[in-house]
Amino acid sequence: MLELDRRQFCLAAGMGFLSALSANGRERFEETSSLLASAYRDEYGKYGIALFSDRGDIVWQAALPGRGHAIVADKGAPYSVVFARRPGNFAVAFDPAKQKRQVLFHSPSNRHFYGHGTFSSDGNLLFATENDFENALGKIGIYSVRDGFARIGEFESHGTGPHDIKLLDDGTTLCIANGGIETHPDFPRTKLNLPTMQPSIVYMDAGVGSLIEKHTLPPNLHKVSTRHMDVAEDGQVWIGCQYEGARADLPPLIVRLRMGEKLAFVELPEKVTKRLANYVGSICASHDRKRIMATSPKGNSAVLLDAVDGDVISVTEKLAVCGVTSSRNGWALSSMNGELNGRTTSLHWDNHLKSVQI
Amino acid sequence: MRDLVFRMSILCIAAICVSAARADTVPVSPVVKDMLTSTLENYIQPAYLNLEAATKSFNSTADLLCEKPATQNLEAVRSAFRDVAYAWSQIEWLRVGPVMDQNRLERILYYPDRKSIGLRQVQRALAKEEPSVVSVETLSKKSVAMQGLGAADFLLSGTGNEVLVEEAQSHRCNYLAAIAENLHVLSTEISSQWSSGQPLAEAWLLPNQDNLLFRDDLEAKNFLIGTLIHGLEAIKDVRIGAFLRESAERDRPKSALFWRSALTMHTIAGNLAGMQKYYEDSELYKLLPEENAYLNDEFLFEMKNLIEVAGSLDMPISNLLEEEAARGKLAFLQLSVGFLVTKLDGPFASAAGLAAGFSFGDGD
Repeated sequence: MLELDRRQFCLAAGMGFLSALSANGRERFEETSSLLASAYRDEYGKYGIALFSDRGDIVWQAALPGRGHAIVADKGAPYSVVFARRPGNFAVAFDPAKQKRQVLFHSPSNRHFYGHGTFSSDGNLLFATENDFENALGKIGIYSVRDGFARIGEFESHGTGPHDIKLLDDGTTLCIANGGIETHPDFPRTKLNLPTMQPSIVYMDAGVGSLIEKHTLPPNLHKVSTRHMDVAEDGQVWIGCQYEGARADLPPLIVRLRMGEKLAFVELPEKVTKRLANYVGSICASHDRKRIMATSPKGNSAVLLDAVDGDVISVTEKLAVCGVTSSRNGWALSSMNGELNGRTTSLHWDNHLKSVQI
Repeated sequence: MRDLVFRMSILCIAAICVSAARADTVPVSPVVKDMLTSTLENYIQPAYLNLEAATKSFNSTADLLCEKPATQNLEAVRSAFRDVAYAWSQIEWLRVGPVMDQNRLERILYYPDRKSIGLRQVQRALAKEEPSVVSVETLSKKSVAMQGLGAADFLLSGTGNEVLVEEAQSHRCNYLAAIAENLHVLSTEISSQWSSGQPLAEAWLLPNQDNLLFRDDLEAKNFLIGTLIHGLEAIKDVRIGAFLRESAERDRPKSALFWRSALTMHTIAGNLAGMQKYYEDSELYKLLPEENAYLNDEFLFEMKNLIEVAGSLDMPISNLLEEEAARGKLAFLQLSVGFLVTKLDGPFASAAGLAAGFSFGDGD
């Protein structure tokens, strides 16, 4: 659902994209059947965004002002956008076809990004998870794609620390994972409210921001921070969580939710939960959205689940694996130590990988 | 179809079990075992025992003050509090084990408190003479911001502390004594769980697939260096960065930890000394190849300098920020800690074959 086919990609990219590629890059682009996108850090500590084949051959890359996080590349949207990692305040809309049209935009000075966003169904608006840090309130910033990503408004996220955000298949409902953790840029990576944190999953109307449903976690699991999400074929939202309690605890880390129903914790065998090491870094539905992959860079594992009942299909061991995406070619996995689908690259890939089918 | 998926699941789980069983039979490498043993026996256990002893003394001096209010007894309590704050500063960045259970970390010290929640709660409890704060049983169930070192700092040195030497068994003094007892209970709980022979200490020493602390050598090594990096980063950002801003006009002396008792720099020096001891006792330098041994020398040299600088600034934070030269030293300290973090996070981690350089591990 979130992919561009090759024709659309070339149309969107224009011939400028191909001419902007190096000869080597053009060759790789022609050879490959899909492109992946991820933020990275290079061996010199510089940050950037890259498009590359599923074999790790880079066909395009651009520097970023700081560490990037997730990439939004929804079908129908004229740009892809990479967001700064928390507590960064920049985002870059990139259209590799016309590099001078790259748009660097920022959150307002009293907000910062959380690293994720989603486009509206018509691709004209970009919704971004943000922090109103002086008031410790989660916000959804609204940016107009046509107006150079000007910020035109905001919604409440109805919780603290909104992280991931998805637009459901109905095109009108946003689902938001409020991780529950209060942070402030004065204390960049410090979590300020762990004893009282209250994560939640929220459904809201994408048109007016009104709350449709809010699901909180039970008190004994209030330190299970809801972070990343994807949507399965049947509309269930699958949520990967990160636990903020003791290292030796073994809480449930994957939750699923259907509108109108209660949150359901996915009961994994204890051995599998251990492999997730209390930290799901990414979660992704397969191309046909019938399966769900959850990765844990701390546990060096990728766990594949059936998207209907949550049965474990397989567990793959891979050092520092975190980025995961799926295309018609299958799964792609990246790791912070530079591995991409089993091949070693010179870049440290950030948490998230995005597939752009061509 | 469901049967097939179920059978696949069983096969996969079986595969994990086989792999886990195989891993279980692989002994932890001697180097890592030595590192973990040394960290436990030379750093963790003594540091928590030290905290336990300091809180015991704090508790007994506070009891005496409540019984016999006198300037001399108040000074004894303040001295004991100084020792507790210092003892805590040496171990506070170790974020594993019982300190992470039952909110013990925040119950010992809730900081930063951006909205002054703790101050408001403590002031309200004093104004209303709330009986719930003078007994450890009830205090330990109240807001974490009311239970620990931050609250004790205000009671000892904040507005209205004169009552501590004016009135026997004052509500304020009894609240202080309950905090001291609470801190002693918490540190005893932590210390006892880390004792040799306890399940936690056993688990610390034996990484394996079923061990929830470390499943293998690499996880253990990454944890060890991660603690050092995140600790130094927090000293730079949270402890110094809380009061030292981009310009003198924007400094925030009253955001500094323990500004009332003038222990800000004493505990920052303690933080650095604790990190140096942690580094030496964890024997992280053993992970460096011979050609990179200079990184160890550099680290030790720079830490020694930083501890000396921090030690030379042991005075009230508002005084330091008002003097240009002293403020410059603070800026140097912050910058230098940042350089150390960059070095550890980059060349050191890389030479040691660790992944700390691009960590996912802090919640994103």
